[in-house]
Amino acid sequence: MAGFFGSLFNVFGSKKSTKPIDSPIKKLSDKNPKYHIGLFGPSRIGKTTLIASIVEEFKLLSDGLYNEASAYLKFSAMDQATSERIADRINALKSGIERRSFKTGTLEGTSSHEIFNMRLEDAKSSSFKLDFIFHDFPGGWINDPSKMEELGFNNWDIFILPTDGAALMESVREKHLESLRKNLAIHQVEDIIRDWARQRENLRGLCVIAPVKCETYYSKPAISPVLTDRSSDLYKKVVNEYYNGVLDVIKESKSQIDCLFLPVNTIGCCYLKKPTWDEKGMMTGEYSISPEPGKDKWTPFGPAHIMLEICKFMSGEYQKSYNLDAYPRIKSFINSIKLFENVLNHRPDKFDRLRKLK
Amino acid sequence: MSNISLQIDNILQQRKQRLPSINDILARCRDMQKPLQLVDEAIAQISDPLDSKDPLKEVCNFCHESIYNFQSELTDLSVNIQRNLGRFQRETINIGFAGTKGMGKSFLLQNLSGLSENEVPTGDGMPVTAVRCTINNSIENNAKILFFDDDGFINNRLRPFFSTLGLPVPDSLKDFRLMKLPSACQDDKEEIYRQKLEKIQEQIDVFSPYLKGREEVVPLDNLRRFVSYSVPNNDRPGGLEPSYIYLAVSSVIINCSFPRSDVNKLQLIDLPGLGELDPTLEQRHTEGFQDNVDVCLFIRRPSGTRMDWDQEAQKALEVLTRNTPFSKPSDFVLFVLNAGGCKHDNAQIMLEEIKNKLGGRYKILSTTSSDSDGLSNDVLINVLMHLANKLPEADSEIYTKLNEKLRLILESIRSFTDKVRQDLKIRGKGQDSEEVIRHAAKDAKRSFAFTCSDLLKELEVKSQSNKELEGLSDELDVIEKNIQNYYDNGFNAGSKEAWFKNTRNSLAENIGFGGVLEREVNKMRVKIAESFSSLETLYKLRADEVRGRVIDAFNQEDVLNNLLTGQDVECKLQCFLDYIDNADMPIPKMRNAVETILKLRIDHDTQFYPRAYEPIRSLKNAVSARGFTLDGSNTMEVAESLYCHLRDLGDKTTSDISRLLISETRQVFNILYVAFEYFEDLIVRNEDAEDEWIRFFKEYFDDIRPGDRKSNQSYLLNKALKLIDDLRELTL
Ligand SMILES: Nc1nc2c(ncn2[C@@H]2O[C@H](COP(=O)(O)OP(=O)(O)OP(=O)(O)O)[C@@H](O)[C@H]2O)c(=O)[nH]1
Ligand SMILES: [Mg+2]
Repeated sequence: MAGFFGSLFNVFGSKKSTKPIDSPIKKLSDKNPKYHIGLFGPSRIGKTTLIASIVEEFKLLSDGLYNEASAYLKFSAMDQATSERIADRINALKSGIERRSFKTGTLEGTSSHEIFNMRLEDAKSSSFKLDFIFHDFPGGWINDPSKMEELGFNNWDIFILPTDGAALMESVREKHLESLRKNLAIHQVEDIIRDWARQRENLRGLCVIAPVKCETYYSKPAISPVLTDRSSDLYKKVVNEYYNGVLDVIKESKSQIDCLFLPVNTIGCCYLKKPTWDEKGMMTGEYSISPEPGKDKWTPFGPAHIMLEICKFMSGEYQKSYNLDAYPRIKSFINSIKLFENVLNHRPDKFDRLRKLK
Repeated sequence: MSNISLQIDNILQQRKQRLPSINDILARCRDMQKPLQLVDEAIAQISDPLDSKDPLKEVCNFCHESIYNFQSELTDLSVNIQRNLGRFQRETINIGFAGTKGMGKSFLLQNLSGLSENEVPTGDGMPVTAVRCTINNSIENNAKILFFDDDGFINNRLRPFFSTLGLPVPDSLKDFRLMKLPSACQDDKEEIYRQKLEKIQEQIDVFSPYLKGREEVVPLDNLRRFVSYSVPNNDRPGGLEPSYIYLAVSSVIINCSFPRSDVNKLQLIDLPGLGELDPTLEQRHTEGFQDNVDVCLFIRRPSGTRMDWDQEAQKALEVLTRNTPFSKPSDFVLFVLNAGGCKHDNAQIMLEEIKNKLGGRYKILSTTSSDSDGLSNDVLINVLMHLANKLPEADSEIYTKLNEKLRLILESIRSFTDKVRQDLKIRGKGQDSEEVIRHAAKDAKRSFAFTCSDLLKELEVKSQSNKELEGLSDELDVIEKNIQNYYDNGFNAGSKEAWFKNTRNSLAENIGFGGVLEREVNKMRVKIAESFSSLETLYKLRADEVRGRVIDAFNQEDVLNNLLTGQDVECKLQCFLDYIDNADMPIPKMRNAVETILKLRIDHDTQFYPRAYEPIRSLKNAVSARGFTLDGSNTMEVAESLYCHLRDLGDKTTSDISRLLISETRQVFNILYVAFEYFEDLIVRNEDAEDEWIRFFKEYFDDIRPGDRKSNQSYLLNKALKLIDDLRELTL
């Protein structure tokens, strides 16, 4: 795997610095360029759920693209195991919602390094294809160095750091604050990002800090009139108090890693009514399903935008690396992504939570 | 209105105008009592621990005696005023009818009032009226008899006899009944009294059933036996038989309509015959005159044998003049020569007699009429003219007398305060030199400042560390649990089921879903707000901690040396304020500082709750938006679904308030820090601070640095001086 990296920069040529920053873009000659997206974070933070939501919401929205712009971005599982895992997770979520009661932490945790093989293509005849490999990191491994080795995270081009928006926002008592850093595994996250950034000193990359369980802190989309907007608080907590270390690590490294703050609702139709903590000091929380008519269905808000940002990042890299006039398939693909972005931007509940951190 | 009633109205009107000023005098009398008492108590506190040879003790004793005198003088004056108030409040002009027996007093009364023999009995040569009767011009036609109770009877009827006879007064009616009276008395007069007493004892079963101690209304034709010494009985010689029921009667008010309707506001008072040998009479007259009678008519009537100014008449006049409320008896007593049907010559002789014996000082009205019109013209109009002239003058005289008395008392209290103030100061204060005191004060202030700055730093660190308020998390758990119990208890309906039932009923009635929701949310909101206010005890704990530290700093040996005492920190600070307030010299900044710390309150409802109010607003929004559906095919299911929804809203609101309070209450130490810094500025850093410390030390040096044994004498002294000043202020 390590072969994808390191010696590629001379292919694309003329950087002025002695050690020019290079694109992670694979050679076009490479038959099946695969890009690695890793999700890293402690157990129960919502990684698996996030992957499922990314896939599902992206699919839902790209249907909209087809309807409105008659273009189509096809995002699909490449093997049966992947589609099964996604389907299982979505089903479990939906049935929890139907039962109208759910506490976080009730879905099954991931116990081994699972891989979601996905393909994104511009659904025209013989279109350009991008393969993405989502690495679902089992949170249980986080303190096991030998298992970390197994991940091969050096190959990851994109890091998604899901974090628990609710735990961040509801931990206000000293006893809860004391264990918050530990529960979010901030230190481990900083370590892995430091290693990753060092490995990628001369390659561009993308790191998305994605707070999940954010339904309660945004007044848009309106889930319940009891909610008030507390998003600036969330931003401050994530960016200034808890993930500032991660940001610093990235800034201090010689790499050129973009960093985004992109809080999402993976469930969407619920809000936290009462924070609760388990005996280990982990926040669980009791959620209430919105009682408003029509708002009690699974409605993720934001996961697709993580994917969109990934796409934009990739487009940017291709644009930097190739003269696209010579590659019409790539140009058409990039165009579809632009159209998709356009469609999303013109939806009534436009996603406006994204902040560029670096 | 006739001339007569106009006159009466005028007189009463003028009188009423004096009422406020008389009340003022009374109020001032009363206002003095408490301050006098306070001074007395303060002086007693100084005096008690003192050695009897201590010169200060002498001053204290003098104080105590003087105050006792002032108090009794004021009490006497108050009693006097109160009695006179009766006069000034009265709605009628009252004319008393007096005279020795058989002078036609009752005849006159009959004609003026229209009453008959039955109610105002007359008797030739026999005393008949035994009870003081007040006759009211009224549309009612009855009599109100006020009966004594046992005690009243003993005090009013028996006591005068026993006193004059020098015998012990019986304790009860029973004692009297069983009492053995002496068999005879040497002295003639005493013997008459003894016999009368014996008679009373003998008749006890006749009158004692009437000792009811209350008022009773009787028809006029049944009145005589209650007011007269005798009742008609044709079987008896003279057609009369003695009656003793009158002994049970205290007084009688007769209501009847006078033949002349123009004398509405007039009362006639029939006074029992004067000059009798009855020691109770004088006392009863006294009562009558002092508040009841404006003018007294002394009735004389020449009969065949009696025209001279005899001893009995002289004695009667003496009783009247002794009891006159005015300074000139001739303003109060008028003579009426009632000569209707008498020989003109006799009348003339009698007139001359009175003029000769009394030296022409008294006004004499004479009449020969025997009908009511004539008597009114001859007597009533003249009396009223006399009153119109004299009464305002006499009233004013009463007022002036009372006022003057008050002025004298106040003046002597004032000179007392001046003298005592000086004496206490000379005898009471220690003899330490100014230099020593200044030094001690400066040292104390320095030492206090050190301790304060440590405390201030500590508070600053705490306020910056932004730590969660101690005990807050646990208290919040308790509060949340408490609110959960409230839900489990069906929002206080007793149980969830009970709530479902009530709500189902409400839904079925016309209140409607929105009404139920709003009502329940409001109840819930109140409950939530109420539950959180228990946090106040936590804040108070912190404030008390600061107060405690301040007290410790003050009470250090080299500062105030345990001067501040009291059962808790607040009492101790209050004790400090008392010291400052009782000081002779003003110590305002120090006072302000101490008060700041004493009053330091961190108030949940005003300081923190409003900052944690946002969730309540959201709750209200959620209710008014009412954007939700409730499942349920019947009202019971809707009620259950509403319950879950309410509980969800409540949970959210409660947890949000908790969350906000956790961060807001980090301000507690900041509030304490700021308050304490203000305190410190005032008491240590202020430019007057040193002066004020020195002043405080000058005032209380003996208490702070006692020579041999610790006392609070200078505190007590200052307190007494303050009270004396307050007292003096009141005399101005
Ligand atoms: N309310 C809410 N719950 C969420 C959200 N995302 C995840 N959850 C819940 O959080 C729990 C944990 O989610 P997972 O996706 O299984 O967590 P994980 O990070 O994959 O955990 P491991 O597999 O143990 O590493 C599940 O019960 C989810 O239902 C969210 O956005 N909102
Ligand atoms: Mg997982």
